[in-house]
Amino acid sequence: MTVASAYRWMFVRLEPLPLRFWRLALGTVSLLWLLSNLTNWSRDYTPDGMMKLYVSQNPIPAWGILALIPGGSWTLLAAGILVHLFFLAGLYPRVMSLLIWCVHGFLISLNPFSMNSEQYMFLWMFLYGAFIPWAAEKTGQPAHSMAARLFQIHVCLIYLISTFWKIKLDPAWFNGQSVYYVLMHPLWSRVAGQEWVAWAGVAQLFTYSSLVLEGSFAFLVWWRQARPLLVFGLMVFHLSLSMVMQHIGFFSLAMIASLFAWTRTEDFETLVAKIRPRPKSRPKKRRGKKP
Amino acid sequence: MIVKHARRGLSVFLFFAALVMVLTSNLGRLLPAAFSPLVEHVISAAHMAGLTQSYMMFAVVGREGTELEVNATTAAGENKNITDAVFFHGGFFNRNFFDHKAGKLIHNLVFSPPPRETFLDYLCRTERDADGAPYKEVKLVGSGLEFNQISAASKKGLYGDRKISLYLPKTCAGSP
Repeated sequence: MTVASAYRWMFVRLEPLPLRFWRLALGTVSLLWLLSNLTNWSRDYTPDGMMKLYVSQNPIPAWGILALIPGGSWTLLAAGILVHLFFLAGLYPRVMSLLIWCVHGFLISLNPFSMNSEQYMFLWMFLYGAFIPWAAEKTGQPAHSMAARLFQIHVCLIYLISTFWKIKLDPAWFNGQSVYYVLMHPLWSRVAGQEWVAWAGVAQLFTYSSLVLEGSFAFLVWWRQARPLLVFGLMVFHLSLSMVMQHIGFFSLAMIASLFAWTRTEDFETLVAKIRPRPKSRPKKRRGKKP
Repeated sequence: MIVKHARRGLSVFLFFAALVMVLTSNLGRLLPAAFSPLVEHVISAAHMAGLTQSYMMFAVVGREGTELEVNATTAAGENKNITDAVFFHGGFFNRNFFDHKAGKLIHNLVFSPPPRETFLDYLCRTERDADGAPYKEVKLVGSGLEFNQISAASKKGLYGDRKISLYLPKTCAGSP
C-alpha cells in the first residue's frame, strides 16, 4: 500500500442515500433520548433537583452558566429539541451537530451522577458529525470525508477495546458463563430468574457468539463480503440486547445508529427489493385459433 | 497549492491526534508509569473533545447483582419502602422509555459515595408520605460487589456472597 493510497483510504466515499439514513438515525435517537428525560428533567437538571447539595459544596461551572440563561434548563431543553429538529430537517447540519454536541456536553457537566453511557456516545458522534459533509446528499453526488472514517474507526475501537478488557479482566468470558450472569442480574436483565437462561449451552452460545461478533468486527468489516453480514448482524445483536436487557435501550439504539456509517446504497436497494412484493406473473396466452 | 498541502497536513494530524486520544484514554493504564504525566494531559484534552471513554461494557459481569432499597420513616415512625416511587413511574411506557436512567443511577448510588448525600437531600426535600407530610428519615440500603472485588473473587474461583455494602440513613431537616 503506497502513501497515496493510504491517504485516500482516510477519506470515506459517502453516497447520498446512506448518508441521509445515517443522519436521520443519529438525529432521531438523540432526539428521542432528550425527550425521554422529560419526566426526570426537574430531578436531574434544575437547581432544586438532586444536584443542589453537591453543587453548594462543589461548584460546577455549568450550573453557573445555567443560572445566566433565562428559563434555566427548560430553555436548554427547548433549544436542544429545536437544534435536533433542524439537524433532522437537514438545515445547517454541521452547525446543528456542533450545537447538539454542546447540549450533550452541557447536560453531562450538569449532572454526572445521573448519566448513561449513550450520552458519551452522543458526544463523540456529534463531534465528528460537525465535520461530516451531510449536505452532500442534496447534490446527489458522493462526497469524501475523513471525519466519517474517524467515526468508523471509533466504532471499531469500541468493539475492539471492550473485547480486550473482557478477555483480560473476567474469566467468565472464557468459560462461557458471562451471559448467564448478565441475564441473571436483576438490575440490568428483563429475564432474570427465567428458567431458559440456565439451560445447558444457552449462556455459552450467547457468550462466545457475542465475543466473536464484537471481536471480529474491527478486522472483518473492511472486507467487502463480510461488511453487510457484520453490520446488519450487529444491528440485530444490539436490538436483541435491548429486548432482553433494561436501562440500556438508548445505548443499543446509539450503537445501531452508528453502524449506519458503513451502509451503502446497494444495501437499501437489496432490502427494498426483498420487502417489495413481486408482481404476479401473468398466465401465458394460449396461442392458436379462437374457438 | 500551499493551502491544499496545509489542509492535507492538518487532516493527517487531526486523524492521528484523535486516534492517540482515544487509545490513550482507554489503554493509558497499560503504559509505564513514566508516561503518566503525558497520559494525564492527553486524557484531559480527550475529555474536552468528548473522546474519553471507558469501553468496558460488561467486561466484568456482576455475580450477585446490584440492589438498592430506599426506605423512609414517616413522622409517626412507620417504615416504608419507597424505591419504586423514587425510581420508577409505573407502566410499560415509563419503564421502557422514561425511566431508562434509573439503572445507572442505582449503580452509581451503590458503588460511588459522592451522589449519595446529595440524592438523600433531594429525597428529603421532595418525597412525601400518604398524608403529604415530609419524611422524618430516609435511608439508602444497598448491596453489590465492586468490580475489583468481583475480579479478585473470580480469580480464586469464588463468587463472593451477597452482603449489605451500603447503609446510609439521613434525618431530614425540617421534619416534624
